[in-house]
Amino acid sequence: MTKKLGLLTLCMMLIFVLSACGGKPGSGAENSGNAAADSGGEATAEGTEELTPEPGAELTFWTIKDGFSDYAVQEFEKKYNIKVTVEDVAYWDSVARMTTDGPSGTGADVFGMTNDFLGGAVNAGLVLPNDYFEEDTKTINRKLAVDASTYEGILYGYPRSVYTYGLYVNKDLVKDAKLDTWDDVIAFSKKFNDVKSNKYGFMFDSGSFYLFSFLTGYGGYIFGSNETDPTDIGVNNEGSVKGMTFLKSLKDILPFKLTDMTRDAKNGLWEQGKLAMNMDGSWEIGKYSKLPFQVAVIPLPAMPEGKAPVTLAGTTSYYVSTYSKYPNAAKLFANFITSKDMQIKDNELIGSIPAAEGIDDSIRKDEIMQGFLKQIESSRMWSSLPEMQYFGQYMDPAFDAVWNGADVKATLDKAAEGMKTSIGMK
Amino acid sequence: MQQLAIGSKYPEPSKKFRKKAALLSVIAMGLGQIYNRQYVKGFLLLAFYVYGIFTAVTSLPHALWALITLGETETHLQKVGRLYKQVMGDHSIFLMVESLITVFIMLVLIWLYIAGIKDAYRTGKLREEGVRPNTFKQTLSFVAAYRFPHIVLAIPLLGVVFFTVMPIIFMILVAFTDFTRETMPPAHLINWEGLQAFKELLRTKAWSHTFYSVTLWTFIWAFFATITGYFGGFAAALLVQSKGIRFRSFWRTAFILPFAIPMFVSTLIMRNIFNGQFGPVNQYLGMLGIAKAPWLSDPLWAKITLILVNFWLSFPVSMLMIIGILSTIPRDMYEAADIDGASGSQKTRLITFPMVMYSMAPLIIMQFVANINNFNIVYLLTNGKPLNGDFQFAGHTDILITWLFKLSMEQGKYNYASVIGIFIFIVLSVFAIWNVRRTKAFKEEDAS
Repeated sequence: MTKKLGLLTLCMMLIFVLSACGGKPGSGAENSGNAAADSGGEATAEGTEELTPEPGAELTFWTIKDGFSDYAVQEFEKKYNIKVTVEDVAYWDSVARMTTDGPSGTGADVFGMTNDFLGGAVNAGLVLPNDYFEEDTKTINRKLAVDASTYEGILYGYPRSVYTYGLYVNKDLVKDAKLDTWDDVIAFSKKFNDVKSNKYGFMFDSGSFYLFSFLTGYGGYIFGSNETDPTDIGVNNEGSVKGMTFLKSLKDILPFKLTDMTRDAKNGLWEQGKLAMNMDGSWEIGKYSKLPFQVAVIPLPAMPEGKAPVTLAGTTSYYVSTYSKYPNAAKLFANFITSKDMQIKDNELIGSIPAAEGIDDSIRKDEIMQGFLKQIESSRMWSSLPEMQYFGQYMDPAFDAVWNGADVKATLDKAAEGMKTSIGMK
Repeated sequence: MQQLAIGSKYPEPSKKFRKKAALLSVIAMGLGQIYNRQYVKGFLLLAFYVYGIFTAVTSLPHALWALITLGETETHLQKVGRLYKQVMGDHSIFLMVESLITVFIMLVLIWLYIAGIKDAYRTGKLREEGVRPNTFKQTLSFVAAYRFPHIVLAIPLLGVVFFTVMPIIFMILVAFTDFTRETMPPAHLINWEGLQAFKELLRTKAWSHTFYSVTLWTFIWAFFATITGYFGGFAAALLVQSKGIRFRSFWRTAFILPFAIPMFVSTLIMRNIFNGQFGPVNQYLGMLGIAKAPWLSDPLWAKITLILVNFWLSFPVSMLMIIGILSTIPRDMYEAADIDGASGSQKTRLITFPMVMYSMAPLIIMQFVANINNFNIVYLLTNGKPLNGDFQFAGHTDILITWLFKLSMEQGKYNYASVIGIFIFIVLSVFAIWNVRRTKAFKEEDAS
């Protein structure tokens, strides 16, 4: 009797199974087949003709939602009558999400991404090249932004903005102190620091992205050939060692462990007005221009021998998904929201640093923006290679170790060795 | 039902029913039941049979091909005129998951097939004995009346098969591939690599050093985290319940507070509280004239801080449970001990402790297991820091599960993460099974 019941139970179970998963294998294959056939058809139809959006196109757009994205989407909808749904996905989450959502058909048509993810995204086959608007993109944008959106010779991105970091200065605290060199910063901080009540002259974010600028200032680099050759690692060359030794000397004015100097702690002090100089990124422009004290940005001062740190910079670009059902509409949209006019609007609305060139007259004139524009001139675009993942992995502990007193040369050699092994090993 | 029973004329008893029924069921699932005049059930099974054959013909070859090759055509871009187009190829991971589902469905169908044969045989035998087989309605009402729990249990069972067992098998399979960020589908195909990932993780010096160190720390951490939380709770419970304590409920409430705040929040707060430079703990120590402690920046201290914070968050639960057990210990045992002149510590050691341990032992083991996998506190409090240049993608305080997370989510080394996942799975299941087997309830059922 029980067996019978077991059988019946099983029948019930199977009904669930079949309704839940039965159709899957077949339908999946069908979908991909269709998609391939569709895109093939379009390809021959479009050819070199004008890029016209597919009839009935609707776009899904992943970006960090802000005043600018709302504005741009509205303008686009007005002009082309194509509906765009905006979803709030951070630039550094989009690749991971696209790898799963893209193939299953729920991903974005156009998504934003910082350039350090580009190599990985191309390797995973997530982005379509910027083919139709290639010339436009190349003519309006800074070369470094175009390069950062290019991988292995093919331009993929539609650059929106560039970002780097500089020295935010609380003018109420610094007053008219001279801040041309790091010696000035050190001198000021020594006078200003009050460890008991947690007042400090200068602080930085302790990630490799920020600290490496001291190494690049003396000629250090991550990858050779302008960050494109992963077989040439420069984190332990002569310049890097020199920069690292200089960085170590800053411990005089920052008398604690890097682990304790968290971003939260630093930003807290800065916003309370207990930190005079804050080395942080341009993405904080919007927030920091609203603080109750006067804020300016100056490029990082010169180190001994007159060499200024070269900050690492990145580019935020938009990309068209390979899974987009409406690639033409998506390309139109990506190009539209990164046009020169839109970049000016972006700067005006939320203070992004435009990737476009030759629009200096139309952008914000405040001291923060001007400071960053100067800083971006002496910056170095960080690599779009997938091998970049090893940089933080080996350099973060290296900075930590040197700060805690380890030998500079030996530590950097070890980090370089680790990076080489990982890149070679794959 | 009445109609059916009256209408059907029952044949003479014969010895051949069971063999015929079983044979018919072997030929096609459900035929045996139909022969046994269980028509509805028979046709239902027959429908499954047809579906099974259909799947076996249409999907199974593809599924097996997919499982063996993991796809053959690569996705690539093709330039047509000025525009690039994506030409879709095989997506190894999707192929793997889809074929697994197909194979699973096939396995369930095969089981059903075998069960059908057995059922036909048994019903045939009943008929030989002159018993009339149940009609479908009778079966249904019998099931609804007496086997309701089985039906309800079938739903979670199904969930276990398709949402627990299948993902685990998928994870295990990934460990034998070269699935990393460099070979991310759909642009790349994934290949079977055999034991390559195991070899690299356990043999290559850079990786094995990290693996063994992190494993060792994971067990040390789980041990201390469990012991401190448990005995802390024990001590608090004894104190709260001891004679002469007034406002008991107040003390209980006060001690449960750390548990009442979501762990997520309190851990993040602790992270700031223990900041070596800006955190209040060191500020207070400074006021007392005690040197600052490197709570989170020194490897050993960071480990101690982890255990401390975990103690603070976990002792209230143990305390509550132990208070509950304490109230079940019969008073007369203590009275008898008093008459014999036992001291307080003797009573605790010889009466209270064994009684509590008797009930708590399985829970302690489960807590140990949970601590091996205690992702939240490590990830939120230290995030594996302080950094360790000798480790591969792990810091001094990373335990296996946080390392696995970093490897997969941050580094895209999915195959290595799977190997670690298998390792954790084995360790945890050994503990879980051992624990279930030694609990009283399980033994009782075995005995009966």
